Amino acid sequence: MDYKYIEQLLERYWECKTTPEEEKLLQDFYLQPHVPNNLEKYRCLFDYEREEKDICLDSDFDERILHEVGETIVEAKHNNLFFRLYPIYRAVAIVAIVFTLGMAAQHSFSTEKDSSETTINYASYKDTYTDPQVAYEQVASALKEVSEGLRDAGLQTEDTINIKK
Amino acid sequence: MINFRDDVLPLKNRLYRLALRITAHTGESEDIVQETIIKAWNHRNEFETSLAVEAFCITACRNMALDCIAKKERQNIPLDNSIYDQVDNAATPFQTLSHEDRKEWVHKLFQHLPEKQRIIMQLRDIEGKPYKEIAKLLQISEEQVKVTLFRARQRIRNEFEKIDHYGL
Amino acid sequence: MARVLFCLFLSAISVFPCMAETDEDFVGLLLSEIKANDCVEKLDSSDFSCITIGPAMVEKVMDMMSNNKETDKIKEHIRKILPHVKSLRIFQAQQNIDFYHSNATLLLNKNKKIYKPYNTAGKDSSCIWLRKNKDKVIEIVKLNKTDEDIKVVNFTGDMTDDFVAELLKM
Repeated sequence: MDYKYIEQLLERYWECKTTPEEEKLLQDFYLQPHVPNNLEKYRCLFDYEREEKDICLDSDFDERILHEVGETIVEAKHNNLFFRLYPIYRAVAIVAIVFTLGMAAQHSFSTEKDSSETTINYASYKDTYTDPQVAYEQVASALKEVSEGLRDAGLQTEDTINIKK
Repeated sequence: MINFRDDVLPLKNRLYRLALRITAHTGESEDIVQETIIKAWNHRNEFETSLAVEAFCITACRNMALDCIAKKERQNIPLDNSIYDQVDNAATPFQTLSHEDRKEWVHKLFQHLPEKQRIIMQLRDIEGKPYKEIAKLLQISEEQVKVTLFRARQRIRNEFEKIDHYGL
Repeated sequence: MARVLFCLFLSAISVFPCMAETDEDFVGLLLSEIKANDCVEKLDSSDFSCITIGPAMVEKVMDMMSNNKETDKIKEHIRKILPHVKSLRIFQAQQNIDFYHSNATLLLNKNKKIYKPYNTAGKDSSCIWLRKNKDKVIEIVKLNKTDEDIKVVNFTGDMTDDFVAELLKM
């Protein structure tokens, strides 16, 4: 038996790199009565997981649920006018909702907004630093990164970021 | 077209195990499964695939199980505290425990996991579902499934590693 | 029928709060998204860090620079740029990089109407996203992912062509 392979599988199991099939393999490995000491302690984990899969409802559950569902089906068969026209009511309601949302969306996009206003609320901001020198260093480094990013994106000094795209 | 016997009823045991994982109560779990299945059947016209049925059932079952726990807490009904007893390796060295007691110890480890980790461990380690399917069932990304599972397994691994520190 | 009409009415009035633009910057949205996903038990998890330099600190930095007569090329550019900057936030993670990256890109896609990519013809793992208000850029998001970490640099302010011209000279 290649215990080295099992040890590697176990390591990959902890790292979540195993497939469901490999995890089944690990469970099956522990079906044998004797395994090396270093692997023995994990027997209870894989036995537990295998046995948990066997937990199921009593055999009379099906009877109870079919009795309940059967009644539900019987009720649905008592068709009245409302149930027959329900699909139409639903379709009308959906159309009405979509129309209302469309009107509202059109209203929001057509409203003039003051271009000098930002919409960000800074009240919740909590400064990480108390020393402006440290803050300056972070700002400088971040600006340099963004500058490089813009250059990588092909922006030239003559271009402007406000070119309408 | 969703069929009750083929698409909905077969989910019962999986849902029962999930509800049990959350509530740790067999009676409540059975009721939850019954309600979930009836609810799913009542919404049968909304489902196009059996995976959609399963996703609906998993969500409904989970929510009902969580509501059940919350209701008990509000009513100050004590939960089954033995399940949540501190996992204490020092009191009873692991090596002296019988195999059954060790499995009970593992059960407590599982029950000590945060809710989301517990559910994903249930769906992966016990139900054997691939990450993609778990992600669809829980409506989260595959990455989130992997990270949550990783954290759960690392917690369990850490408990096993502590075993070596308590005398043979 | 009454229920249908009631739902219709609720949908109609619920639209109005949604019409308001988001009042958080991108990193703020990202932190909310991570918290909402519930995969991290606490927001101060050691997985990631978030640096915030708000408007008040930006003012202090500008005061410090104006009091300090030392100068070099970089400082000169920054002196001209800083008045256009209102805040800087940097989100960084060195673990679970793919997880945070997928959260960030999902968020950018979810908010396609607010954040527009600026020339993604380049590498997939590094990109710039802009948020505009009319013709002004009010937010810049730079998302960078490597094998070692993921970093989101997020400026807000009033970023005009002069700002960009100075920035490119750095």
